Amino acid sequence: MNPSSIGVLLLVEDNDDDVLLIRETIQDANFAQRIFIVTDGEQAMEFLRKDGQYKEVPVPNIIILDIRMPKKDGFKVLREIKENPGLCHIPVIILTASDKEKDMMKSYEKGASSYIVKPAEHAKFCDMIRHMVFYWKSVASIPAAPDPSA
Amino acid sequence: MAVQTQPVEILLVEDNEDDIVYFEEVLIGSKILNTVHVAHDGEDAMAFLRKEGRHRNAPTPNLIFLDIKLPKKDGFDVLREMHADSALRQIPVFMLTTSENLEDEYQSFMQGARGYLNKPAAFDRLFRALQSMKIYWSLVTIQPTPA
Repeated sequence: MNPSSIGVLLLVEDNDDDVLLIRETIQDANFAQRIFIVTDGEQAMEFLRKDGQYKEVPVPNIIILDIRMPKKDGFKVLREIKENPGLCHIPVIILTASDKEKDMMKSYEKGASSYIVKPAEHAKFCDMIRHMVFYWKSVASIPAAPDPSA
Repeated sequence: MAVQTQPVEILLVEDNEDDIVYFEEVLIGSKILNTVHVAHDGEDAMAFLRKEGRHRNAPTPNLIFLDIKLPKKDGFDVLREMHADSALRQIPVFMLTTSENLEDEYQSFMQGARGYLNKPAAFDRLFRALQSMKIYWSLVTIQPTPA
């Protein structure tokens, strides 16, 4: 595992402004070697299962997942990830506008590693992303992608 | 955003006396985190969490640092038992290890640990790691309030 970045990040987010902000901040911080973005829950599962157009994509080392999304919401995606033996080791960070206690509890119950509420203020949002990047890059170990030949 | 203002109760599950002293010095001495309770093996950890025997007045911890290699019951057994118990599965658990064992990392996340930390050998590195962890945990993420 390269200690300077976490490898492959999958961002699951349908809001274009949030995608732009998150991507810029994590790129500036050299968080991931590769960032893939999908905009709804169905696409996220297609990516993770390497279906259709995603046949050649790598297994991500970490996933940032929104809750409220079209087609399939973040809870369903999280449950499918954690029930899949090939995916359940991947840390999932919930990044959402919802500060509802029940959403937070449900996320941890289903196996999220962190629950982060998006602040409305731009500067604060960037700060939070930077702290998140620093923590996952420098403090916590993240499992490397499995060796496909193993 | 919920900011942690209550004292943070930490359960450190660790059998190595040097590591216990080392962690306590960093956790208490730096005032990064508040109260540290120590369990010396996996069975003692489960008794603490279930408030059994000498632990009947123990608080429910806000955070657990759990060594993997432990006498009597190892860290993964503790994690499995916690996960099977609806009253305990919400408590964030961070696995501690001195080795970079990929299988242990996988197992930790697969069994519901929130994080996996390699114990830094240097005091200042551990201090910085816990400081970053505190910021991330209390100011960036939100956590369930213990019952």
